[in-house]
Amino acid sequence: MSASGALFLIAFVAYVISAGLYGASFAMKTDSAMVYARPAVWIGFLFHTLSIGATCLITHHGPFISTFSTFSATAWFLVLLYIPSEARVRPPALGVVTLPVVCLILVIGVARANKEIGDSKLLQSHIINLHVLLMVLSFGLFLLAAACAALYLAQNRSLKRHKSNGWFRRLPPLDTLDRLAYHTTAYGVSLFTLGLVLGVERAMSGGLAPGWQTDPRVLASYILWLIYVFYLIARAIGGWRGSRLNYLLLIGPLVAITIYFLPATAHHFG
Amino acid sequence: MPIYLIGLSHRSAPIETREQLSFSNKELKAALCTLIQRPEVDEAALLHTCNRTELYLASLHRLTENQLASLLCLMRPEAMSKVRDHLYYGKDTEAVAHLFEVAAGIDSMVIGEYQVLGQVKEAYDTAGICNTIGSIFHALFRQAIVTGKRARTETEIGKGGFSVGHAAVELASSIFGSLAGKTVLILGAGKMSEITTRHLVSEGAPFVVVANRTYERAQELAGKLGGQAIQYQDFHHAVETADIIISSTAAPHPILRRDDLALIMRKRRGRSLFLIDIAMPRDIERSVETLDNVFLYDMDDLQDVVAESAQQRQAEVEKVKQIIREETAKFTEWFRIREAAPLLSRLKKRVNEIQEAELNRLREQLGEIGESQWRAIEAATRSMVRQVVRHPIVRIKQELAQSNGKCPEYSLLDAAEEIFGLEEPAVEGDHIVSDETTEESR
Repeated sequence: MSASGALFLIAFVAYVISAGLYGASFAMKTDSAMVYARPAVWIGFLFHTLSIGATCLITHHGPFISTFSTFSATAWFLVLLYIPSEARVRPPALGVVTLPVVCLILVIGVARANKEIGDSKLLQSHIINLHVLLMVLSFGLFLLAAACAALYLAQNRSLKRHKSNGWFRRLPPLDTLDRLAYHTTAYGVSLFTLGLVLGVERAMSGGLAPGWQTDPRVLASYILWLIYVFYLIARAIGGWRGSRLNYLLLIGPLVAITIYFLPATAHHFG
Repeated sequence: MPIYLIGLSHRSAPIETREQLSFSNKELKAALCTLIQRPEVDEAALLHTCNRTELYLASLHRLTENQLASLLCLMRPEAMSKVRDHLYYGKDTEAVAHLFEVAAGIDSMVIGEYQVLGQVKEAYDTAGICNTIGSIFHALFRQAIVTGKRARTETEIGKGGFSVGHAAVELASSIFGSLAGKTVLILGAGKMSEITTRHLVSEGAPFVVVANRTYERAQELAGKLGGQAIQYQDFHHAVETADIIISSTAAPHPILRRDDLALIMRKRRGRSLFLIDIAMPRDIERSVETLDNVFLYDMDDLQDVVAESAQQRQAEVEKVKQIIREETAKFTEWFRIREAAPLLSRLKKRVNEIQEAELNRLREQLGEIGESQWRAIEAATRSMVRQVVRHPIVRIKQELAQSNGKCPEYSLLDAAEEIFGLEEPAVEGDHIVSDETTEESR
C-alpha cells in the first residue's frame, strides 16, 4: 500500500468512527460520545489532507487526476465545510447527516478507483481544472445545504408532531438551519454558475465534441442550475420559507447524482 | 359524613373533552349555588383550572357514580355523554389525598408548579363566598393549602423546575435559535401569560405587546413587562409582526382562525410563528397547524415537553408523597374524631341521664337531707360516671388517632355504641357504588 493509500485509510477509518459516534450521541440523547466524535473528524481531516497532498506530490497533478481522487476531493471539501458549520448549529445533528455522506462518497470513490478519466490531455488545461474544481466545490456546498434541509425537515416534523420525545432538543433550530442552507446554496450557485460558464466557454472553443449542446449531462446541469436559482429567487425575493423549499434542496443533489450516471455523448467526467 | 370527589383532568381527558366542562368565574359561582340547593349535597367546592375540573362534595347520602356525574354536569348536561368515560372518582381518604396531591403540584402537568396552589385557594374562597362549605371543607381546604406549602418548602419540587415558561423558551429556541429581536404578543392578560412571557423576555425576547379586552389591564401588564399595550380589536395587525403569540383569553370561541392566519402568513412572507394557546376553551383553531411555519402548542402539547424533566423530579415527588401521607393521616384523624363526636356526645348524654335518674330516685328514697350532704352525693355520682366513661372515650380517640385513616371492621366506637346502647339509625352508604353494583343489588 502506498503512503497516500495508508493515509487515506486512516482518514476513512476516522470518518467512520466519528459518524458512528455522532450517531450514537444523537440516538442516546447524550453528549458523552461527542467528546470523541469531534477529534475523530479532525484526525480524519488531517490524514485526508495529507493523503490528497501526497497524491498531488506523487502524480504532479491536481486532485482530479482520477475518479477516486475527484471523489476524495469532494469528500474532503465537504468535511472542510462541515467543521465550521458544526459550530453554528446544535451538535451532533449535522454530523449525523454529513459524516455518513462523506463516508459514502469515499466508498463510491474507492469502488470506482480503477476508472480513469477519459481524456487526460484535457486536465492539462487550467480552465478545465478550474471548471472541475468549481463543480466539486459547488457540489460540496449543495450537499451541505441538503444536510441542513434534511435536518430542517426533521425538526419541522418534530415540532409539528408535538409528541417528539424530546428529539427537537437534539436538532438545530429551524431558523438557523434555514439560514445556513440559504447561505450555503447562495455560495454554491455562485460557484456552480462560474463553473458552468467556464465549461461552456471551453466547450465552445472546441474542448468538447460537436453536439455537446444536446449532451444529456450538459442539459441536466442546466436543470440543476435552474432548481437552485429558483430556490434562491423564491427564498430571497418571493419570501418563501418552510418545508417545500427545503425539499427542493434535497432534490438538488439527487439531480446531480443522476447527471453523473447519465449516458454521455460528448461530456465525460470522472 | 363521606367526602366525594369527581372530576376530569389532563391525566384522564384530552383538551377537547376538558373544554366541555370549562366554566367562567360567574358560571362557577352559579354552579356552586345550584349544587348546594340539592338535598344530597351538604358541602361543595369546585376546583377549576385549565387542566382540571373537580367537584368535591360532602354528603350524608350514598351517592353513586351516576349521581356524582350528574352533579358535576349540572350546568352542562349536554357534556355528560362526552366526559363520562374520562371521569375519575374518589371517596374519603382517596378524595382527600387527591386534593392534597393537586395542591402539592404533583398531579399537575408541570410537576411542582406553584400556580395550582393559588387555584386551590381560589376554589376555597369561591366556595366560601357562595357559602357552600362547612366545617369539613374548611378544614379540608386549609389542610390542602398547608400541604401545598409544605411540599414546596420542605422539598425541591418547586425549585429550578421545568415550567410551561421553560417549555415555551425551549420550543421558541428550537424554532428561532436566538430570541434576540423577537416580538412576543400576549392575547389576554392572564397570570400564566405573564409568567411565560417573563421567561421569554429573560431569554432575550426584547419586544412585548399586550392586547386585552380591558385596555387598562393590558396597560398594567405591559407596564410590568416593559412592553406596549394595544387595543384588543387591533390584535390581528400585531400578529403580522409578532414572532411568538401567547393566548389566554376567556373568549368562548376561537379568536384566531386558520383562514385569517393564512392571510397574515402571506403578509409575514413565511416568517415562523410560534403560537402558545393556554386558554380554556382554546383561542386558536387547531387547523392552523397545517400552515407552513406555524407551530401551535396548547397545554396538552406542552405536557410532552415537560415529561422528560418530570422524570428527573421523581425523587422529590416521593418526598412530597410522604408529606401528603402525613397530612392525609392528620386530616383523617380529625375527620374520624369529628365523625365520632355525635356518638361520644350521646354517650355522655346517656350517662348523665342515668345519673340524673338515679339521683332523682335516691332523693325520693332518702327524703329530707341536708344541702351539703346532697351536694356531696351529687359530686360523688358525677365523679363516678365520669370515671366510668373517661377511659372508654380516651381509648376510642386513641384508636381513631392510630387508625391512620383505616377503618377496622369492628372498632371501639362500634363496641361503645353496642355496649352502651347508643345505636341510632345508621347513615346510609359507606363507599361509592358503581351503577353496575347498584343494578346487581337490585
